[in-house]
Amino acid sequence: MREVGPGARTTISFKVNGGAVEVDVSAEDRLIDVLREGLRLTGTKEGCGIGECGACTVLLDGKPVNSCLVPALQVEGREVETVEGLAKDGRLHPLQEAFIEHTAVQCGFCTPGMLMSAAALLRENPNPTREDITRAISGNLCRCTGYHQIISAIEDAARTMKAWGPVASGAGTSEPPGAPVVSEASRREIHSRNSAD
Amino acid sequence: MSPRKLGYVVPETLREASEFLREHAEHARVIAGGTDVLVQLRRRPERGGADGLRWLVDISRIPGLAGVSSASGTIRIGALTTHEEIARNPIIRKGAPLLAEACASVGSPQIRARGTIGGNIMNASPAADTIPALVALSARVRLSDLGGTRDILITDIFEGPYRNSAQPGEVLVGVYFDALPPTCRSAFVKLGRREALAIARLSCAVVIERDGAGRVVRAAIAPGACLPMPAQVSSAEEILAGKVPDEATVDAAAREVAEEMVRRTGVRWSTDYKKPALEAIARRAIWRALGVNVE
Ligand SMILES: Cc1cc2nc3c(=O)[nH]c(=O)nc-3n(C[C@H](O)[C@H](O)[C@H](O)COP(=O)(O)OP(=O)(O)OC[C@H]3O[C@@H](n4cnc5c(N)ncnc54)[C@H](O)[C@@H]3O)c2cc1C
Ligand code: FES
Ligand code: FES
Repeated sequence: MREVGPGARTTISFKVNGGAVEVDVSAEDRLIDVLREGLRLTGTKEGCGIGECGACTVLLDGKPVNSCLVPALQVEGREVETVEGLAKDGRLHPLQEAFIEHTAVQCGFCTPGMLMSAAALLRENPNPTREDITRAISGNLCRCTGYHQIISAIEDAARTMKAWGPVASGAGTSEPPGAPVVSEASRREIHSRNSAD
Repeated sequence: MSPRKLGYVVPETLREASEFLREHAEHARVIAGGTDVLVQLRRRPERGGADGLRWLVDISRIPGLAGVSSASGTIRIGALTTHEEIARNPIIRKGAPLLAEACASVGSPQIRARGTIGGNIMNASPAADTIPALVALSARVRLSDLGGTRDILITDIFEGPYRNSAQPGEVLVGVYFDALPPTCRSAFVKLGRREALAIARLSCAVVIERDGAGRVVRAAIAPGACLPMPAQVSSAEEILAGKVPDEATVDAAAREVAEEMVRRTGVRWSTDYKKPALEAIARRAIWRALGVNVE
């Protein structure tokens, strides 16, 4: 039986965005602490810290979870995906493209979590209705946009991804010829938003 | 998490978990999905925070505690089964649709992916959504300790709001109930379902079985988040029993659910709002369990 005493630290191993990592944690660390402080993956945001806002949403073994409610020690041996894993080979994920296109990003605080909930949805259901989308992002609060742009962006991304064929999760996504190329400006925009602390 | 210093153990067997829990009693707490525990850890002790807590006992890696199965008409749900798994499980959707509805109504996708039925029961919140459904199903829960297991009725696991009757070494391992036969219909209706995160303050679970002539041969009505202790409302069930329900009968039964709530809780500041709301929810749930969709 693994035992980590009060105040003690231990090393956990798991995968983040396809790569194996080892991090030193205490019993009190949460997944979001490990991501932001241990691994400097600051795209994931902490809003409420109590499961209400969804800003901290990441995928754990493919499912969207609030990383503020996951003890770090529960992640041992498992797979985590964060917003930093969405772009592949310097190219934004179709969801990120669509968010920019639809002005679904205003202050941007909710965006990483929103994108992860949307990514989980599209992986499971490539043809979501607006209602499916609304339900999928019901645990992600946005104070700025009123949601319509976000829902339209996700709808649009679903169409794009279908036209392209399935976008694989994890490493090695290949894109079809003629896929839209992200403009430098929009790439800079979403990168700075996702990595602003 | 919090300024207090916590330790963490990950037992591999129920025996290890029970031994540790007995040894550390009130200084140790089980953690499953953590969606209640991690919120409680952030609260100050005087506001329901986890005062005196030194150890979290993570049962999530104990084998055999997750999943749904059924054998000779009895459905078993392991304590670690998540709301999401229950909501989409075909055995539950067929044999206990009201429980699938209750689990689908919990929190958000993120909460449903992590929150477990065992945690929902043992946390014993008056607003826990699976509880009215399990009460209407006359579910039993199985507790495991060093000496073996014991089964008790779901209603006997509650001692009061946020208090369960388990002993220090006991771990909830599963929930059991009879699959509803095809002659039964069921419904779970919750107020404010469209606001995904509003922890419901009112809900109602209903199971109704009818004979070939449409007469009610069995009715179970369990309102949620409004009684001092989770329970069925037998006085309302009796109004339906033996009848081919018409509008007046359903109205009377729904009114009785609301009146019984007031009898059990007394008149409070919230009664003016809760009574008509519960009556409306109960009416809708009863009609749905009779196969009629009303808004
Ligand atoms: C934002 C948010 C929204 C929510 N919305 C809803 C909602 O709509 N409806 C609803 O019903 N709930 C809701 N909840 C509450 C919570 O998600 C559920 O109660 C969930 O089912 C708890 O399960 P868990 O595995 O996460 O429990 P944990 O937090 O791991 O444990 C909860 C309690 O049960 C004990 N426990 C857990 N498993 C066992 C076991 N097997 N044996 C003995 N003791 C055990 C723990 O010691 C602890 O006291 C919400 C929570 C949050 C944070
Ligand atoms: S920070 Fe995790 S849900 Fe708000
Ligand atoms: S863009 Fe500001 S919270 Fe969503």
